[in-house]
Parts: sequence; structure tokens; C-alpha cells
Amino acid sequence: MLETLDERLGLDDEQLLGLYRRMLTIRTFEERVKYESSAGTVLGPTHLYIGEEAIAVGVCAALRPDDYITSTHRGHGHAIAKGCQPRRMMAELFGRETGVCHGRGGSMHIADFSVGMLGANAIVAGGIPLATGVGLAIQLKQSDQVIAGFFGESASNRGPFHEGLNMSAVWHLPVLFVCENNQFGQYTYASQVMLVENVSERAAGYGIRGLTIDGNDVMAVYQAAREALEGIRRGDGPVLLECKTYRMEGHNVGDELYYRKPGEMEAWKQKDPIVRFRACLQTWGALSAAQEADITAEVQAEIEEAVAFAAASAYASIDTIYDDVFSSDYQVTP
Amino acid sequence: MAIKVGMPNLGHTMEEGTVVNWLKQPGEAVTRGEPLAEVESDKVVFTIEAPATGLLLRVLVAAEGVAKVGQALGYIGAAGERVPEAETTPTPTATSAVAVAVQPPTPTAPPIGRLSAERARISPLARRLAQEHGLDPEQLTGTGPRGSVTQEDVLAAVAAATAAPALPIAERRPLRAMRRTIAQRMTQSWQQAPHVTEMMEVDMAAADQYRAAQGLAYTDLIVAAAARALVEHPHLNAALVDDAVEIYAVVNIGLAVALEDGLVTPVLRDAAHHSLAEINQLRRALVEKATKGQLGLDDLAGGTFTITNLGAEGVRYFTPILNPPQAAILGVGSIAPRAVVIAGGLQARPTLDLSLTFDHRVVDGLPAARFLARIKALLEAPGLLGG
Amino acid sequence: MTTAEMTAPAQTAVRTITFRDAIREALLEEMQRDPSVFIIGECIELRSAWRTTKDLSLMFPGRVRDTPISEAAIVGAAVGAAMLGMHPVAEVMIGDFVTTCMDELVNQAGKMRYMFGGQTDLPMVVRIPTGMVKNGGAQHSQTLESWFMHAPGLLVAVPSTPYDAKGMLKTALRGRDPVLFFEYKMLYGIKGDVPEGDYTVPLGQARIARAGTDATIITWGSMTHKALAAAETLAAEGRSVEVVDLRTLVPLDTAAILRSVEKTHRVLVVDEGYRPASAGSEIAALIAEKAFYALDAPIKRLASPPVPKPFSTPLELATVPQTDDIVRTVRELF
Repeated sequence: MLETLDERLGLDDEQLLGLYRRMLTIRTFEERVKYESSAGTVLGPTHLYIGEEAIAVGVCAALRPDDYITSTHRGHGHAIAKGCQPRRMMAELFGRETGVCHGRGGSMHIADFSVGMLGANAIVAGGIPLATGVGLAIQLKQSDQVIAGFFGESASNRGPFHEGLNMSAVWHLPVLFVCENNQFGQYTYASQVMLVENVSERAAGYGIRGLTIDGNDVMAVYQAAREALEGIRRGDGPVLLECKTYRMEGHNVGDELYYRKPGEMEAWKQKDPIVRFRACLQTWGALSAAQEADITAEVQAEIEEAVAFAAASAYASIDTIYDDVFSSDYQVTP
Repeated sequence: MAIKVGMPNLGHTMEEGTVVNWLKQPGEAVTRGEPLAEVESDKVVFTIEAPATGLLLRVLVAAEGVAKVGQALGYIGAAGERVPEAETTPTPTATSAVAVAVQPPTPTAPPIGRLSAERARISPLARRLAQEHGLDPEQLTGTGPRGSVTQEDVLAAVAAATAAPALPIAERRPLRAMRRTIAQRMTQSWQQAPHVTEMMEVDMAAADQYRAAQGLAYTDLIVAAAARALVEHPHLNAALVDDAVEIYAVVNIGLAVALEDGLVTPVLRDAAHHSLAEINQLRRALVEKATKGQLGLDDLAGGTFTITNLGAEGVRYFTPILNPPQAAILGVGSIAPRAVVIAGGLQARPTLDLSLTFDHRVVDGLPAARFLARIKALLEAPGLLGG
Repeated sequence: MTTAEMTAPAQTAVRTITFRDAIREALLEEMQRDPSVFIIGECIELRSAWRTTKDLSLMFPGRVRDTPISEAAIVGAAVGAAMLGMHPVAEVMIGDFVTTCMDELVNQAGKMRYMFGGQTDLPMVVRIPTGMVKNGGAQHSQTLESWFMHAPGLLVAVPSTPYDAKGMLKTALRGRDPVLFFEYKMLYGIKGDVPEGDYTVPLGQARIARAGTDATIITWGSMTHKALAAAETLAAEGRSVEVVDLRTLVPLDTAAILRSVEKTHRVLVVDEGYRPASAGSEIAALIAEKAFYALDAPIKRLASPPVPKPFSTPLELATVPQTDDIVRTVRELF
């Protein structure tokens, strides 16, 4: 547990509070989305990141603004951590024209190319070959950028995981494969559908480095990511970073959690990443009560504004449904 | 696959046609568009052009044969290609030992060319075209796939329809023999001989008395007068045959007899050598035969001059058409009292109007006039005619 | 399509070269012209199974790469690289294998631009050698381009001549949209006149391969050549048959199709793919919808029957439309 790590990995108070704030923003955003989804204002299937915030925040803190990420159906946390505006995300979830994808994508297809967030993918493991391709492009451009491709442990059972990691390995592509092992693949325990306990064991199959860390410890995630990315930027090739966590909510809003073992969630609540980090910051004296109250209030206000903004925004006109199937070079015939 | 040569649709009421003759023989090479066969329907003879290039593989309907519109008359294709058998249903022979089970057509199968009993099989293009031309698609026959009506079929129907008369027709009588013959001969006569008609009035007072006393008809006197005049003016008893005027040796006068729907012209032979009484007898015998339809070819042949009479209906002068190859014909009008100037004063005299048409290739106006004047003179002094 | 719509330099030599060499020329010239063009695929580095990339890896080191047998990763990587503005060419070695990368083609490449609200171009080309080869068997003989008419966001090119192959591949490589470039394997060896140097042929425009007045054959790819042979035979019978080579299925040159049908009133669609629910079906339906009143006979289609391609030669030939079949079917239009 990170309480014993008293070097703050070179981060000053502001940076540490930034980690905290971002995790809290994600948590507050997701809790509000849960409410709005039940109210019907957030449309469609919604997959909450509650309990996993440390992974997105820790990894993205190690990335540069010109680095990229690919994400999953459970992508709100990745998006906020990479720098997407909550108001434009909320508007997207509300299906409004002001959303980051103009209401075309929704929760499962959040994307903001302006901050290097190259899209949430509703196909499990769908983003892995894309991350491979992004890494290939970076290599061909001879740049030292990197891409972090997020996916769940159950994605590692799909073909594209195998193909994407293998190909990235062979070509030494600058990809950080971040496996968020939250114990569940939809309504099934991951342990029921794979025999290896740690997904990182699979890295050996591709000849690359794999490691498993505590995904609920933002500093541990940050440290592991930072270290891996140094090598990746140097051209050492991809790394498989498995972050163990727990999906505190159901797979989707409305999931009745009929399959969950009793008592398990309560046990994991003790390891809540935000609670732990708050305690850590308080131990380091980096977070006063006043600061905590301020940050909490600011985050709340930001989310409130995001909802208000979304609710006040109009839907896109139906005249636009044929736009952006192709570039302007080609027209779709109705 | 071999290409069918079908009986074309020559008119939108046409149901079948007759092959007149084939211009190509089986096995001969044909080029698309080349004349292939002649077919006839109603009065129309039509030349079928070959619909494709290849060999005329088989002729299914020979000359004189009859086929329905669309029926295969023959096939064009490459050498050795299989062609279907004739489309006519075979008639079972009485000596056939094996009974051929005939499958009744399935009740739901519509006839060739129809979608159903109510609906013709017609392509959208053809239907649109038919409607534009005011044709009923249900009435058209098709030569397209599965007997469907195609654009080509509609255009053919349109062409046929525009050739038909625009007027409504109360009745249509195909020409029977007599009418056909009359039509042919009148046309021929009119087209070949330059017709000129001269007319004269005849004072019939004397003839009237003479006739009554002798128990004769006017016609008998007219026949006798004409016959005598022809003897004296033989170039009116003639015909133009090839390059020569043939003057007959005998006077055979044809008498036009009106029948219910036509006329016949039995011939009173050698009229010049018969007495009035004989002329009367012969004439009556001929007329009776005519009205009973008993005239034989002998009765009708050999006329050298014709007399035709419309007087009973009140016609005065008219322009009879020559009875070819005769050079002259006398038209007899009515006999009626007319106002005549005699010695400077008006009198009512029984007057006969005569119209003489002659062939101006054979006879000129003056000789014809003299001939007519002679007839007039004889009729005005019937005692000259003898008994 | 007029010569005005093609670009060609003022003085060019025209040579007779093979279809495969025309493809290679397009790749070579575009790689020279645009450093962002690169090629990935199986066994392509030396020359490719179809000899279309011969020696290109020597001319452009690092830009022509052999991949593992991983179609999902190959196509997915092309998507990822395209999102970063590169111009990847991914080769799926045999058209039957599109099944192994359907998600990457249909759900990723076809959807990215639209579901992200127009945030990205997707300038990628997937080259797909397709169609019959002699005795290829059920899993190496198919031509499945029809499936992609049913997937929004993908352009589908089906050139039939070396001239069009080179010109259309260049257009694809300069575009901003994903192009599935089907190359009929049976045509690789055919020869045609191809200008030296740069010219393009637009996508979405059919060409009149043979003008005629009595009937129209709509077709593409290898069937174009059989249709032309059939038209020659029919000409000797006095039938003037127009052959329309579509060259592209998406977008479909509906105007050219309808123009031809309005002119001849009789149409046969010839498709090498399986008949049910094929590109030929779509074309026939379009003609029935939009040119119904111009038809003088029912629309006819010729396609492969819905049976797996058998291996034995006489059986195999019987499961693909042949020139004689085309001749016979055109005759049935009259």
C-alpha cells in the first residue's frame, strides 16, 4: 500500500491535487450520470467507471498532451483524465448537438481528437488493433509520442488482443497496453472464463514485458505508467500493464447485480482509490480541509453546470443524418 | 438457341394469317432484315424480314398454311441447333394403337401471353405506349418473352390502327364473286378506255304506237334499232385488242339486267338477223333465266355491244361504263312526255333519252354521233325495223 | 465517363501492361508522391503472393511491412494509422478472409468518422484480391464485395481493366475515406493500355465498355470481360448489346445504369458473387424502382448459385456465370 511511499514521485502539491481533483471529477460525473440515466436524460446504455478512477488518472498523468489514448465502452474516466470537458461529455450523453460527437456517438463512442482521446469503442477489444495502428503511425513519423490503449481483462480473451499485442511486439511499437482488470466481464466473473489469474502473464506469450499492479492506488499506477513509458518512448517496444481494480457498480446502469458474491463490494469499498488517496494527501499535508471542501464544491459546480448545459442544448437537426458518413468527396444516397 | 420467326400481327383484329410463300429455303443463310417470307391476312400482304442472321433451320408452316398471330412459322439459328417441334397440336389418328393421355391444362395456368384470364402480360414500356396511343393493352397480342406484349407489338398495332378508316362502319361485306368481278371489270374498263358519252333525245310517238300494235317492249325496238345501226356502222361493233381494232362479224347485244345486289349482261346473239318478235322472245327468255340465276357461261359470253337501261327509275341521261373489250355501250333513259318545240310551237311528245358511251381509242366523236343519230331515226320510224 | 474527367499529363507514353503491374505502378507512384503512404500485409515485403508489391520494400524501406497472419490487426492498424493522418494500404491476401476482419472493416473503419461526429478522416485503402481462381475451393474462391454495399461508410472499388486499376487506386490513395479495393485475381494477368505517369480515374463512375441499343448488361470486375465476349457473339446474331462496367459499387453510378436501361429497355445484371441478397439484387431493385416504365422485358440477373464453390473443375465452372450463360440469358430478354 502506497502510504509507505513517501517520495511523492517528484510531484508537487499542485500536481498531486490535480490527480485528486481529476479522480473526484470522474467520480462526481459518473454518480451524476447514474442518476441522469435512471431519469432518462442520459440516453442509452451507460457503463460507469466508479471505483476505477485511479487507473485512468494515473496513466494519463504520465502521458504528454500530444500522446494518444484509445478507450472502451467504459470510457468516461479515460476521457476526463485525458482532458475532455465534462460539459461536452454530458451533452454527448444527453444526445445533444453540443456534445463532443454532436450526439452521434453517445456514451460508448465518446471521442475528442483535440486532446488525443481517439475514441471509446463499443466492441470489446476493438480499440486494441487501433492502438497498434496509432503506434505504427507514430513510428513511421519517427516521433516519440506514445499511445495508451485501455481495455478490460475480458478483452484479453478476444482475438484482436492477441493479434494487436503480437504485431505491436514484433514491430516494437510505442504502445502502452493498459489492462483494467475489474474482476468482471459484463455479468460474469473473469475468473470463470480464464485460468490465468493475472492477464500480465500473457505478455510472455508475445515476448514483451507484463506487470500487474494495484489499480486502486493512483500513485502506483502513475509510477508504473511513467516507468513503462520511458522505455516505450525509447523504442523498447510495448508493455502490458495490468491494473487490478473492482467495478463498484454493475456492468451498466440498471444492472441488478444478481451475480455478485455478497460482501465482496463492501470489502473493495475499503480500498476505494479516492478515499485512499485523500488519506494519503492528508498524511502528506497536501490537502487541507478547506482545500478539500473547495475542490469538492468546485467539482460539484462543474458537474452541475455540465448537466445544465446539456439539458439546455438542442438536438442536432435530422437534416444532418447523411453528413459525415464520408468526407465531402462523396454523398450518401438516401 | 434458335430464333423464332413468328406470324406477325398485321392489324389489331388479326387473329391468323396465311403464308403466301417463303423467299428462302430451309438450310439457306439469311441476314437480319432480309425479306424472308410473304404472309397475307384480310386484304394485306406483308413481307416478313428475317429477325436474325443465321440459317433458316426449319419451316414449320409452308405456303398456303395458316397460322395464328405469334405462332412459329420457322426458326433461324446456327447449323445443327435444336429447334422446337411444330406448335400445332397433333390430331390423334384413328389407327393409333396407343392411347395418348392428354393432360388437361392446369386450371391456374393462364394462356400464353396472359398474366391471368383478366390481365394481359405486357411490359411496362409497352403498357405506357399503348395508353399513350389509346390502345387497350388487353386487346394486343404479344411476341415478346412468354408471349408478352412489347413495345414493338404496340407500335405495330399503332401502325395498323392508323391505316384503318376513322369512320364508324355499320356493316362490312366481304366481296363475293359477282361484286368482286364487277369491281374488277369496272376498274379495268374505266382505267383503260377513254370514255366519251354523247346524248340524244328520241321522239317515241311513232314507236309507242308501233310497239303497242305489235305487242312488243320498248327494249325490243331499241335492240332492233341498235342492231341495224351497228350493221350500218360496224366500227361501233368493235374492240381494241392489242394493237388492232377488231370489228366483229356478228352483232351480239348484251342486255344489262339488274339483280338484287348486282347486274348481269346476258347476250342476245346475232340480233341483226332476228325479227322483232324473235328478239322479244329471246329477250324474255334471257331475262327470266337471269332473274332465276340460271344463266350459263354461254349466255354471258360473246357480247359485242351492250345496252343498259335505267329508265324505269326516271334517269334521263347517264354515262354508262363500257363493257370491255366492247367499244360502245348504249344507255337507255326514261320515256316520258316532254315539252318539245315543233314547227315553232311547244308540244308534249313522248321522249326517250339515249346516252352512248364509246371508246375514243376506237371511235371518234362524229362517227359515233352518226351511229346514234341512226338509232334515233330508226326508232322515230319503226316501220323501218321490219317485223 | 468522359476523358475530361480523367487527369492525364499532356504527353504520356501508353504501354500495354498487366493488371498486376498497373496496381504496382499505382502503389509505387503514390508512395513516391506521398510519404504517408505505406503498405502492410502478409508476405508483401518481397513481392506479395500476387506479385503486386515486388521490390517496393527496397525502394521504400520501412514502408512495406510483412505482418503476422492477423487480418484483424492488419485492418485495425490501418484504421489507427489513418486516424493519425497516414495513408495506409492494408492487403487482405484473399477475399474470403474478409470474414476474419469484419469488425475492423464494418464497425471500425466504416463508423469512425460518423460516430465521432466528423472529428477524423479515415484515408485508408484495404486491397482485397478476390474472386475465382482455378480450383480454389470453397474458402479461397469467393467474391464478397456485395456485403460491403450493406455497410455504411465504406467505399467499394471493383476495376476490371489495368487502366482503371491504376487510376482508381491512385484516387483511393489520395482520398480521405476508407476504400475497399477489390482486385479480381483472375484479372491480374490480363493486359491493357496504361499511360505512364500520373493520372486518376474517379470512384463512383461507371464506364460504357461497349455501346449498344438492344439490351444492357450491367456488370463489373472479371464478369466485364465475359460480358464483352458475349456481346460480340450476340452482335453476330444481330443483337446490339451495351455493356456497362460499373467500376465502383459504392458509390453506385445509378445515373449511368438508368441511362442505359432507358435507352435499351432490356437489362441483365451479371454478378460473380452469390445471387441471394447480392450487389446484383440491389441493382435490379434500383432499376425496377426507377426505370420500371422503360422496361420492355423483366429484369434478369446472372450470378453464382448459393453453393460453396466446389473444387473439381467442371463443378466449379458450373457455379460461376460463363460467357455462354450470358449469351443465352440475353436472348431470353427478347
